[in-house]
Amino acid sequence: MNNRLTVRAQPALRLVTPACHDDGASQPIPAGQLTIALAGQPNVGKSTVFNMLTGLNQHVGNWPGKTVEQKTGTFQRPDGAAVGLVDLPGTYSLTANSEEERIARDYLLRERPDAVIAVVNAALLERSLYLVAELLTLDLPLVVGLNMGDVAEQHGIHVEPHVLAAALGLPVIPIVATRNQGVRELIDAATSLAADPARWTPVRPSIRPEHAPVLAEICTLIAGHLPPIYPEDWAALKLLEGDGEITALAKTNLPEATWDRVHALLLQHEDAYLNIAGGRYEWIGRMMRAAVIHPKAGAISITERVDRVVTHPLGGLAILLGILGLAFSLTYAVATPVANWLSTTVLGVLDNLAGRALAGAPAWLFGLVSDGLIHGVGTVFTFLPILVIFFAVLGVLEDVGYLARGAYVMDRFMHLMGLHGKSFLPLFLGFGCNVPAVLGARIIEERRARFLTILLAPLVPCTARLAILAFLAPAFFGSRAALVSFGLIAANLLVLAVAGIVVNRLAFRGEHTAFIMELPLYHIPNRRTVGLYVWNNTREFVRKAGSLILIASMVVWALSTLPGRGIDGSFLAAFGRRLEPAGQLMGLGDWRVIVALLTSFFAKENTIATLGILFGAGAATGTLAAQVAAALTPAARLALLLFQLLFIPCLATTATIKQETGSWRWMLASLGLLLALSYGAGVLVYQVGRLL
Amino acid sequence: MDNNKTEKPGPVRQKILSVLDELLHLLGDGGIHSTAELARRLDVSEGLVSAMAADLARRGYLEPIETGCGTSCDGCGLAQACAPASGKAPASMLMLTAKGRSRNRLSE
Repeated sequence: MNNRLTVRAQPALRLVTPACHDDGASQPIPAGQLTIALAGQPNVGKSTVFNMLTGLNQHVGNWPGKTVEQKTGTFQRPDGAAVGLVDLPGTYSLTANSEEERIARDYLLRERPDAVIAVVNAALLERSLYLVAELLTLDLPLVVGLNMGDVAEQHGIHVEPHVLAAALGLPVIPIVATRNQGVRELIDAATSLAADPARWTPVRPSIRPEHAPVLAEICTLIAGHLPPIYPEDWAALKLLEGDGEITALAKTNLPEATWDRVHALLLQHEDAYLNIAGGRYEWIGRMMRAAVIHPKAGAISITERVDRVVTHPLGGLAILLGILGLAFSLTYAVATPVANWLSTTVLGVLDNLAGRALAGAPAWLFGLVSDGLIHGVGTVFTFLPILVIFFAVLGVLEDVGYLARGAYVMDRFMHLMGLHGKSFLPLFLGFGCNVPAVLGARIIEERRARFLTILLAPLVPCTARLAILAFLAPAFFGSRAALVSFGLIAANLLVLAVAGIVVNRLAFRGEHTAFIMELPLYHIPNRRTVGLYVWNNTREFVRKAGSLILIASMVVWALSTLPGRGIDGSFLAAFGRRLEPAGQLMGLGDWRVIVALLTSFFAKENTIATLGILFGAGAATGTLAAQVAAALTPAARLALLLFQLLFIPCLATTATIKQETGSWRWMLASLGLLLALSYGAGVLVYQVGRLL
Repeated sequence: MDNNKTEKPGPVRQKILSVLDELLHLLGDGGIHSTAELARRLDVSEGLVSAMAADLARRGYLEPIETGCGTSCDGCGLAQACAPASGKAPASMLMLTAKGRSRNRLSE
């Protein structure tokens, strides 16, 4: 496109400088004095350049009628001539998206400074160059100040100023604004360019040939109708881009018939923006390829090299599974012995202490403290080492930048099974806790699809369920615990995937939604960040154990004691025994285990608390997990673990499901589905396991 | 992009796409795409892909998605209890909108 514009006669007086914190009235700059505007994105060092040049000779006020700060000032050249400087608001483009962009654009259009300095960030050159591309369409003499070269070098990016200058067709002056390096050369380049603008021929972004005729037609149609400050070819381009301000201006100023024609053309070319902005990005791409060198070393290329393996469809999946296996092995090797020691030695000591302290107290009080508190909530606290390891692994993975890659790899894997798109992300969040998974389904606009995704969310094994698995598996399966846990999680994910395929077919009709994910750079985990992550999560767990789990444990203890005929004659036993025939099909004929699984509805950890209360009340030999293991056959143990992974979600998740769906029917449907799935899977595993 | 490159043998593209259309086109298959992967396929830098994606989001072809609890957890009593997820997004993400999808179909 030919963007060369007719150079207008400069007005004798230009209004730019309101006095320091005045009422907004502008102060004239004398005729003949050069005016240079400083443009750039926020935090690019533009104001530093301005302060270095103007020193104390600056005025701070507001742009007329706006709340945005305006800084103007003067710079004395060695020959004594004064140069007026205007610091434009920081903007990424000139598209009138924000007040700052409107102010910068209006100033450049109305006042037409003698030259513009675009300060760009060498470390984020792509972002800075878009503004340069837009400035070029205004046909003002332009100089580029290449700032932050030092930061760019630290990131392994080297920009060649001479090559960039040749590619842009503009003077490019490297500067270090904070150290006042190159700033004088920059202003000299701007003043000499203002004196002789023809010395440089900028290379402008081009418009695609298919839009050239329509641009020319709009240009002809609007000719002579807009206020003279708006160059017609620029206004035509902005109209085609869909610029709201210029569109409104054209609508008011054009004769009705002309506007109708322009409007019809714009509707026909509604997506012209993609081509016009696309042309600018292609231009930026060419500039970058010409002038930017990425050396082999440095953080960026390390991330690239690691990602080649870690985000590989197969290699990445193997690494993800390896990390999962490693996390469980680490838990069993480090945390399980500590948890066992806490559960036998520490709880035993506490039990003895309580016995001595409450020697004269009523028997029910000792029962409450020993069975309800120490064996109930106390057992949940023996979880802590397991959770700390989980949180530490999650914290390290997140801080290193791996978690995002995990999501990326899993999506590809799920893509193969037809489960992907909008329902994937909420589900991925479910690994931490099912509550955000249910909330995450909000990204799905269509009601049916959102509800079906909410239905799937509780099938994702949350940290609490994984911790119960990690607590029981070593006593259940000895040295094969890690392998069995791995298999159970795989089985859980398989159930999720199959359910996901069904949901995808039903709700999304196989529609493929696409996401762009900006993967963070890898970095060495920070001890403090990981420590804080572990501490915050542990504290929340302790808080939950001290409130919800405690109350539920008290209720369970009370029901297991009343009406005072011993635990086997309690209300809870009577209730549990009614369910024994159903449990029998999974090999779980012991009412204590059935009741423990049911109490997981309050909080998943209550399963362990209840087992502690009901098993702890008997002879305490060995760890709790070992006592439970002794009461069950190996096939029943496997069924128990799979059942608890798939069982109905906790109260918090259920309440969130009700809140998000606003429907009791959907909430009950969710509970019913999960109950059927978990029971079906438990029965299947037990019945098949018994035959082997 | 250098649009004058010789196309590989196969169906000849009627209209060569602009880089923004190509970006939308690459998303046509669905699934998660990393900015690094898109940058490689478009032969531009990753920063440029991010800038283009942000631009497309401003124009409604993509939309930023809130992951984790985000602001939706404000005022929720359970926000603290779901700490393991920490409500933090694993990375910043943008999703293709209906407008983006229809543009894709038009450019095919």
